[in-house]
Amino acid sequence: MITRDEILHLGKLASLPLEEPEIAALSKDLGVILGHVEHVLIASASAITPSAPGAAPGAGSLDALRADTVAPGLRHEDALAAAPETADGGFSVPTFVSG
Amino acid sequence: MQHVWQIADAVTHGELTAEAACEASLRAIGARDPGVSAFITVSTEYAREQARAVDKKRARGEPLGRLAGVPVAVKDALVTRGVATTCGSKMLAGYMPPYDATVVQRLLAEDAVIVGKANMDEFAMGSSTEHSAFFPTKNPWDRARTPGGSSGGSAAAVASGMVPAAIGSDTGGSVRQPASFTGTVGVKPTYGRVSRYGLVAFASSLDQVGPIASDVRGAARMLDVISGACAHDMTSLREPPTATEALAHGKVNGLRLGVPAEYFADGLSAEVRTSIDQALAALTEMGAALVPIAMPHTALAVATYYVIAPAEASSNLSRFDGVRFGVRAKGRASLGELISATRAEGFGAEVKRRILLGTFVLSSGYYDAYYGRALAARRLIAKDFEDAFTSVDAIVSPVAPTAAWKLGELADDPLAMYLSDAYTIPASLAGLPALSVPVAPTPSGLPVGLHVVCRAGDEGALLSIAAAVETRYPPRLAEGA
Repeated sequence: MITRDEILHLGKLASLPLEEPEIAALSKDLGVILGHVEHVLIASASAITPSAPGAAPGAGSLDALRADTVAPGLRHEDALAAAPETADGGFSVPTFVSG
Repeated sequence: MQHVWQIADAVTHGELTAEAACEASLRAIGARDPGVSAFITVSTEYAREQARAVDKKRARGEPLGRLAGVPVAVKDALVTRGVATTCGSKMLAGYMPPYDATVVQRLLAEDAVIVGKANMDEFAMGSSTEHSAFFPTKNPWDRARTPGGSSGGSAAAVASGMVPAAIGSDTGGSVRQPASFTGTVGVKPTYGRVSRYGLVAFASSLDQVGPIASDVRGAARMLDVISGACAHDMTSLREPPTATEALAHGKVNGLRLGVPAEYFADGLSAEVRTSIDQALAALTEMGAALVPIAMPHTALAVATYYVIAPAEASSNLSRFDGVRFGVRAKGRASLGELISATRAEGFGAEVKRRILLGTFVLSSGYYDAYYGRALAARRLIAKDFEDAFTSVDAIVSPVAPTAAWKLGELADDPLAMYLSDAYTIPASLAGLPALSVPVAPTPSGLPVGLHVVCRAGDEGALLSIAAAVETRYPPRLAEGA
């Protein structure tokens, strides 16, 4: 079971404010899901020891970098066309620095 | 509805116009989609323009592409220039992308005709298409049941004969499980085989784009078109892909097929088991040898996936902030409030659940216990496959423990829905190519798919085995759709 305070903390970390009915449902659901994860990966006889993060399977054959060649990118006006609000040729947001 | 290759060949030889093929698809959508709800957007005029362009190209004597005039549905997780792309979410309602995904570019370059954007679970998070923010898709074989998910709209559009092929995406089984539930052929390629440029990211170490088609040869042709290196996807494999259509000849004589006991244990329904056993017996009659194998870490897969995928999703979905694209909450005084309110209004319940789950497993104090262990478990699961492939050519199993369940049946039990992906998740975690090919349906007529997994890069063997299975179980569309 994840506590109400833990759910609210996670919501804050994820920029996801939650309504009252959501908090109770998430507390229950995350408790069940994490209970399964704990049982299988942490508490069971076949518990896994954490190790340093490594490459994902198959990643050894992947190219990390492409050739550094200049190619046209997204046009300025196309990028702005999908924005909810624009001003002065940029994305418009409320003031976030005062003074 | 004809198969992909039949339409392309007929258009190429002048026996059918692309416009006629397009109109037939649009008529089928008009007649059947009100009952199935496979499409979020039907791009009627866009499709007609493409079809006319293909016919003009032929009239000018220019060579046509491998998908000449083939009507195709594209999962709404791939961006299409000038055609609304929602990813099944209110967050992107009305979003008009300024570019085409690489897969979309490749379909159009081979003269396919995109007739619409298929429904899906929001941000591809789900196994039933019930988590679409707009409406659930129904299974054309039984409209009281789910078509699976998250690419349920793509699979249902093919199964009901609206299109001969569709594009889906598969993170933990989202192409293969809906293909199994709808009696279509669904392929998850090797990780890196198909570009994800323009695919709305869910879990980037797992996401792959793949085709769903009415038959194996059609799936192979679609796969061949969309495969190949892409400069815009850093995980794209540089090695040229195998041309699978030419290899989809159906020979299994002498192949060793691994049968993992762990995929036939508790939880597998008796009727699915019967269908799979019949298919395995058919493969032995065709000359394949069944080899019992052990995949000892299979039981770790679902727990591992539901740590890694939400962790990556919690990061990927941070881009939805109401600033650069998508919807924006109204009347907020500060940037922080704007972002939070937009996310609270824009995301649905399952997406919020996974974002919080991912945030939890990555948070200080829990990272090693959950995420670190999941990464270690992922390597053990991949090692199971490496070990198995020293003695077998492919691994065969059911795609899912059950046939399609009733709409709403698992809606309040997220863990039960997650566990339904137990057979498809391991190959995703290992980055291996896998597919679903239809076998005998259940006694009540619900489709069942055989799951085939091959070595990385060996899509040719995958399609070849599927073609052999198809000789015993010819393609069928849903009756009454």
